Amino acid sequence: MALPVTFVAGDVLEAAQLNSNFTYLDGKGSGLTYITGATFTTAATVSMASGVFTSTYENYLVLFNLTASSTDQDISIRVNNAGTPRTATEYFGSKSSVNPTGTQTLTGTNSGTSHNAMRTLGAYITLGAIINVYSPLATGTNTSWSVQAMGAITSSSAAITGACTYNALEAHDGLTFVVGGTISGNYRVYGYLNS
Amino acid sequence: MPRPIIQIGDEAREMTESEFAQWQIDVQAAAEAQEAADARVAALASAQAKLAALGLTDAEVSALIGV
Repeated sequence: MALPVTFVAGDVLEAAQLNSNFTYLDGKGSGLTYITGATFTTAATVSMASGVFTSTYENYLVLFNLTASSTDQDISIRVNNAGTPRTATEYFGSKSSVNPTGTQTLTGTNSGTSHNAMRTLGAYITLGAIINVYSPLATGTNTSWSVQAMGAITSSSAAITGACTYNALEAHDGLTFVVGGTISGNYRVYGYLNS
Repeated sequence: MPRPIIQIGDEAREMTESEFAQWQIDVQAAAEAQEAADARVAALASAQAKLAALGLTDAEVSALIGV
């Protein structure tokens, strides 16, 4: 019997066929699996708990949403090792911010202690971002990530894209977000099914 | 004065002394980076204004400086 069994109008459903379809579907993973998330309020630093990134998935998607920001401020990203954010000067990346008039501002992170990844405004602009994290558990290659966000540059809104790597052959099990003021919002973490 | 809040997973608490020290370093670095970015934006606007004052059209300015 080819699975899954597909029925058309007029077919008679047999219990065995239904059971076979249940068996076929049992254990099939979604392409994107929710792992964890958190809501934060007026925090200066937001860090994932240890063990969010595991060997179950090679790559991860992080949705990061702000609902409030105390001021105009940059949002920096760090990788966590066993739950502790890495602060060595091993961050190499950049971001591009394009404001509504088409003016682009480039910000480099060259041997930085974090990735200057996003910016938000306090008065009227909140921020939404997707962050793809690549191979954080692999110890044979550096962890890297890319960011796409609607945020700000200086004092106007901006489309932000960027990417970064942490130059160390070690496992990373989460991310930390750092701001100079405070932020409120939430993040959600999903794993990409490997195959 | 209470130290800023750090949230780890679902737990929010006041930063420890060492976390606060690192955060202060981060804030200083972010301020310097923003200052540099602001300076680049200001320099670009200044260059555009000077080229416009020389009689260049917007299209010509854009062709010259790439924005």
